[in-house]
Amino acid sequence: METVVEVRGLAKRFGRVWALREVNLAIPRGAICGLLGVNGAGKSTLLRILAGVQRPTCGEVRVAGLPPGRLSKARVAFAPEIDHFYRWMDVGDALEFSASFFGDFDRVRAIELLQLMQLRPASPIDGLSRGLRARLKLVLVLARDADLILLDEPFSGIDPISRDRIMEGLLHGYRASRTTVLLATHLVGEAEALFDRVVFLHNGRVVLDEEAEALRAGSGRSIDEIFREVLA
Amino acid sequence: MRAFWRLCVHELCGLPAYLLCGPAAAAALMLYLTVRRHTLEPDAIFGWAMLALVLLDVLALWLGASVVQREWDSGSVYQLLSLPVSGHAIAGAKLAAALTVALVPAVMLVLGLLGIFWPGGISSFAPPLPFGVGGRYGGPSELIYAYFIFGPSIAKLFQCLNGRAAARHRHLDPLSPALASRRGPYRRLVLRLPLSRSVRLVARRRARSSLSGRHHSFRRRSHLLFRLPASLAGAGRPCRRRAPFLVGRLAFRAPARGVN
Repeated sequence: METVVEVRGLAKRFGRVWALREVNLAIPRGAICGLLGVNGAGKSTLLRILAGVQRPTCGEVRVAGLPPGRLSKARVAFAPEIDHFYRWMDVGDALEFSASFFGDFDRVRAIELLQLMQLRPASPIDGLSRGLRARLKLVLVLARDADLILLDEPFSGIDPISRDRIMEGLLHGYRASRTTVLLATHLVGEAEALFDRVVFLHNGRVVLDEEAEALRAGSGRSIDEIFREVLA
Repeated sequence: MRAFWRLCVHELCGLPAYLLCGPAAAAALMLYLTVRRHTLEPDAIFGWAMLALVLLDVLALWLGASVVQREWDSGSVYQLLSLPVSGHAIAGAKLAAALTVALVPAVMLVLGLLGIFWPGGISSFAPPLPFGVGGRYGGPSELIYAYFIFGPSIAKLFQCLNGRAAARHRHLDPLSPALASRRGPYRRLVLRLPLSRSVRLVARRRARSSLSGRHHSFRRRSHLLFRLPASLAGAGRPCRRRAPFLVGRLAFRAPARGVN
């Protein structure tokens, strides 16, 4: 099976603190992978390194066969946890900005997603609530036909009803597609139906990396319960 | 290259106020100088225009640096860094946009000067001391000139004095995230001090913003007077990362081609 994300011996240090240590990962194409861990486990750092936003201290990273950089960024859609929008833009400007840099941006899908997320192109970003900005972040990422989608806490600030609808959309849109989704979230119970594979991070190390179905069948428990037990 | 131009346009779209205000100010200055050209001495006109040009250069540097600083503060830099363009192109586009903002009024000023001085030629009016440092001309231009020449030194001195005061009142200064988390005691303490209402409001707002990750030092209002020259001297924001460092980080730390 083709591997989209390949990480070997990855480590990242901020000053004296090691955010990631000896991380080894291989995520196959088309998988929806849950990146789970408590606060400070290194989830966001790992996603930022895969997105090419941060450099690793050591180790080898390959995204779609490329090292993180300008070429790999064209094939990765990244939604960071923080609000990264320009406040002077409106929703339509944000879409145009993404579309002008990414050749795989699908404007038709973007319009459909805007309707699904109940956003209007003329709405100024400054006037959007936190939840609506989180939705816009998802629109910008999901409208692309990228090899790898990186979502860092994508559901924070989104109400439960919309969250369910988005998850359902993700499930149908990406379950059988060639796009790999790497999703870091704390909402393990709600998102576990999405996962084909789960990776547990703790103190910057991978403590568990398995197929979600095999894990559930083997232990007879949900991913949420296993998460609580392993990382308690 | 296309990406670089798109980034430039994007940056200019984010600076509409500067794009409008610069030419408007230049036009106003040229209008004033044109109307007063018979009463003002030629070297005074030239001095005013040169001062404006110097200020525009300063504005370009300050604007470029502050735009980058703002990007890091607001988190929008992640949007730029995840684009398939190199860090050099991003930083270059920002500086090019800032230079454009300064260049448009500068070109207007030069053209205006040519218009005023064309019959006699500019060189015949060039003064030996363009800003009247020897005391030949008094007035606001000398004041502004002195402000920019001596401002950084004054600001450094002020900051040293202020730093000592801050050291005495370290508990008031939410510089570090650890201290920033003590919002309650800090706020209570500030509210007990015999300060004016406006200062209290500022303190309250800063205490709140320190929680959101933006760390401000507690300073008196008078410090505002020194902010611009202080930022030129790199002395204005003791607790925040310096803008040149952030520009460098944008250009060199984001992986351009690959890291392995």
